[in-house]
Amino acid sequence: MTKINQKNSGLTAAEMELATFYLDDLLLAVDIHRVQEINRHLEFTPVPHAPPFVLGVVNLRGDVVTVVDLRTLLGLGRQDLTLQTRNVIVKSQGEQIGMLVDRVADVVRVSQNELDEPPANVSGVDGRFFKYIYKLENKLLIILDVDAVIDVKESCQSVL
Amino acid sequence: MLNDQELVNEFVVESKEYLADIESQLLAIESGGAVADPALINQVFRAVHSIKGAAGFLGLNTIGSLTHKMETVLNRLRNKELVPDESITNVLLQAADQLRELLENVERSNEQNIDCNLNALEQYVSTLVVENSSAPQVRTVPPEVPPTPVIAMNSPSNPVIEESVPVESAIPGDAPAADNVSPPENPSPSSGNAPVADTSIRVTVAVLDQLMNLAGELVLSRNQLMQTVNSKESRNLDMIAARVDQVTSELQETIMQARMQEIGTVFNKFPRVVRDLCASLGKQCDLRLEGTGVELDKSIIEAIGSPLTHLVRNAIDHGMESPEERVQVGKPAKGTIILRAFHQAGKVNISISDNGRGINTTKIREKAVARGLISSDQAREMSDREMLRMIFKPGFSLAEKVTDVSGRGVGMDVVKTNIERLGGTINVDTELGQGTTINIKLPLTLAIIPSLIVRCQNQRLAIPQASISELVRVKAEELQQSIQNIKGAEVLRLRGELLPLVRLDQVLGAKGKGCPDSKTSAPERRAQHIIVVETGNFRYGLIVDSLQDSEEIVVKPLGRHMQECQCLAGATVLGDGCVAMILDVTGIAAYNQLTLPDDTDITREAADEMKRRTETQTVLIFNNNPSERFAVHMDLIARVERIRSEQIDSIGGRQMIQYRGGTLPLISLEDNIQALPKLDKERYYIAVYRMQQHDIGLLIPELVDIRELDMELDATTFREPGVMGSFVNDEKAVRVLDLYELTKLGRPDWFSERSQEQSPPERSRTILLAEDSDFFRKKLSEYLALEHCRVVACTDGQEAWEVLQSDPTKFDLVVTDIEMPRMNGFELTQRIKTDPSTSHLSVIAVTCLASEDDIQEGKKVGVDEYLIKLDREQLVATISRFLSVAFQPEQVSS
Repeated sequence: MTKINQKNSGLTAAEMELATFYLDDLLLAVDIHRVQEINRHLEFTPVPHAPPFVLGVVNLRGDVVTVVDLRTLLGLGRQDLTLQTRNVIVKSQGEQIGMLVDRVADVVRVSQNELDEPPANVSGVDGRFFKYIYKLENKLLIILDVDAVIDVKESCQSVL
Repeated sequence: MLNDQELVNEFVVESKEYLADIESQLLAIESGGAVADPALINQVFRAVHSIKGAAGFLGLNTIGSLTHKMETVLNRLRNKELVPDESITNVLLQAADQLRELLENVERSNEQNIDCNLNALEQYVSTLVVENSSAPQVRTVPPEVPPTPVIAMNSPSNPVIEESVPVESAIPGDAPAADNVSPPENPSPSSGNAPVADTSIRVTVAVLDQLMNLAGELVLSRNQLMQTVNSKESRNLDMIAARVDQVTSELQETIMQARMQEIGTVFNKFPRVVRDLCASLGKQCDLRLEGTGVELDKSIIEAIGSPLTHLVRNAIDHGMESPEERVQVGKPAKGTIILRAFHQAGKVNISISDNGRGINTTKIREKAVARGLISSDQAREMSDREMLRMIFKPGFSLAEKVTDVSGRGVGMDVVKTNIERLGGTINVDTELGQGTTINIKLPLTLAIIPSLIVRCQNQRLAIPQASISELVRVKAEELQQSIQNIKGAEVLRLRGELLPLVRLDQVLGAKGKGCPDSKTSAPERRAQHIIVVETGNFRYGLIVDSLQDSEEIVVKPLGRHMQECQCLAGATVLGDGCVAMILDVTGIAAYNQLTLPDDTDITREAADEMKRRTETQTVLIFNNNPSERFAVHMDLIARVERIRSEQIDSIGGRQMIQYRGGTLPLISLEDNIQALPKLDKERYYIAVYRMQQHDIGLLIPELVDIRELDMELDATTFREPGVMGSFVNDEKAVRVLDLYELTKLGRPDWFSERSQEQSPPERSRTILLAEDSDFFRKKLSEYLALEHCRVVACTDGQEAWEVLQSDPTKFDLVVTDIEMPRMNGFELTQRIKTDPSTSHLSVIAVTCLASEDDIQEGKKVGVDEYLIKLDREQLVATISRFLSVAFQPEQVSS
């Protein structure tokens, strides 16, 4: 636990709230303070020559926002949009970025003491982008390192 | 330690404003010497004094003690106890640099050691006698302090002048380097590292008030709109829409105005740069600033500093000879660099000219070959102008040895890229031994740009109008002859010029996901829309699927994932809320590795075509009646528009339309010349042209083509007033109209006034005419004869010169063509202007195509006026103007 606390030094409160969502059956979470909004802006304008995980851009109240495919980034392969598909807008390095997720789930409140270091991979998904693991009663909640996953350069190769 | 952050921020901003002009002021004081303007010294004194006062109040002791010393020295200058000289100025300048540095890191300013500055100042505080020998070396040459990463990241918009001036070493780099402690945890907006002044801007209260007013108006309009929408009454909607439209435009304009800054804020840094650089390189050089009041958008002002610094430094390092060298070649020891800004055609031009040694193209040739940038064969084929462009290639440097200042081969290419990124262009002009001028053209603003929206692969894309030079539609049946394949690359044959073509869909890549129903499978055999775009000196055609509207778009930056997309300049939100990409035509050219068609076959062919082009005319061919074809010269046509037949009113037997808030008279061929009645159509074209200060439209039922024709006209068969001749095109006779005569027939009333008010001159004047084309010579002679001038016509410049030499007093004016065999118009003009017996003569050049370069060239050799051939009205007006000028002295003497 001490190890975690060290890594976690930026956070002060004992509890944190997480916005959770699914990619296939994988339950993922992001610190709720990073999430600006969740919407259904799914009409992307494609951007030529953009990295393959960039789906395009959308107009978010006058700002041009990049939308990335979280599935591609995590090496899960593309899937068609469904009625449940959502665009999770997060803030990263002062920029708004949309992450496409299969469906959103609840907001979960967790105690920071119960966060575990992630294993090298979870259900075949590369663990590089996971910050912590939280054990729910019947499921594993994976807390994403938003900045790491968004800023990855070569993730496309792991997909193909 | 510092309690009131806001107060400190304000202090920093204000102090920086005080310091903004201090360099140029100190330099002015230095050059004034013993008789320096006391008002100026006072101004600097007051600035330093104010900073000192506020610093004391805020507990900024280091700043306080520095300004105190500066103030004391300035006070002694003011009281004439000291005479300003170079060493005092040096010390004061360095103190000002240090002061600025302290202000950048105001929180930590009290920890800084500024003893060297204080000591340097001290000697002028205590001694009365000024040693003007070696100035004390206070310069703290920074031990190659790389700006800390924090700074590099946080201040991309910071004018990089200081950073890029290593020799000057204006940064006593200890400030950021001394404490490599991580930045404070709480990132308050002004935490020392990010320069405060760059993120704020001063706006006059008047502008703010106006903005407030407009915002109020907008709120009112919105309320009205909501009300109307709620009450479902659409009656007022138009009115409200108009109001919102107006308020929004005004708001936009006012905000843009608030963002405008004078270019002087950039220029004023250069006297110091030049002075220091000259000192370190042992050169002598004056800097003249012109047009410092020209305003540009803040974003451009910020971005232009670094490229300009590079160019100015280049001018001194490469361009300027050493004083000895200059004296040897008979130039004054002191060189001059002129930094000039001016408006032209909706753009801001900045030129940096020096009167140094110029650029030796032979040397470029050698260097370029030596570096393997081009082959020696290519080098031989390239013109000097193309050679000059080599300096913009990456990895090219002309410096003999690598110095601190330049010669590392990074530079001009970066400068060019930076300028082009701003939507600007850069050009070099040089004359060996005379100097070099670098011209930069920049848009006024980057924020809102007029653009053309095009469609390709079912996507909408915006192309900035500034980079579009024309739109071309190639009909399906003409594809074969207009678009050709030369060595695997498609080229467009456009009026004799060969343009490389780029298919936009290929640039965009076959991305299936964005466009499920892409119909790009059968691109051939369809009319093609080609957008001819211009990037620097280079043009190419972009093939798109279709054209849409022109729109004023607001440029939005793309996110960090798309920074590497060189084909895109950004994105914009269109009227319907969708995002469209903005294309970067320079980037697309680079992506496709388009270069100037250096393939020798192509260049030679193009050159031949060009030569032919100067002898040809562009004509608009149309059918008045299916069996009768006519042509008019495009040069004379202002624009072609489309109207509906019911728009045509007929009043008193004359036709006209309501047009742009006024009435536009129309003219029909069959009413004035022998022609069959025109086709009845629902829609007509009108070719609008200007004659006798009136706009007039020629009714055209059916357009056929725009063609290049050489002017081998048959001037007899169909000759009648209004028709100047005919030629055969597609096996049909085409009559070429003389718009001047035609208008005179249709509207004799416009011409009568003029002939009355201008009575024929008492004595006829003699004009020397040099023109190689028979047709034009005849035509021009005819025009001039009608103006009661005697004309002596020659077939080329050589003949004209001989005629002129035989009796220089006989002529009052010279009218010459430019392109002529044996001796061209430029040479003729030059001879006339340099020979004392003829130098009093005015020279009017008439030409088919007056390009900017030609005009410049002409002005250089002394051409007094440039005219377009066949614009009779202008020709006559100009000639009578010149003749009356030429005659004045005579009248006075008689």
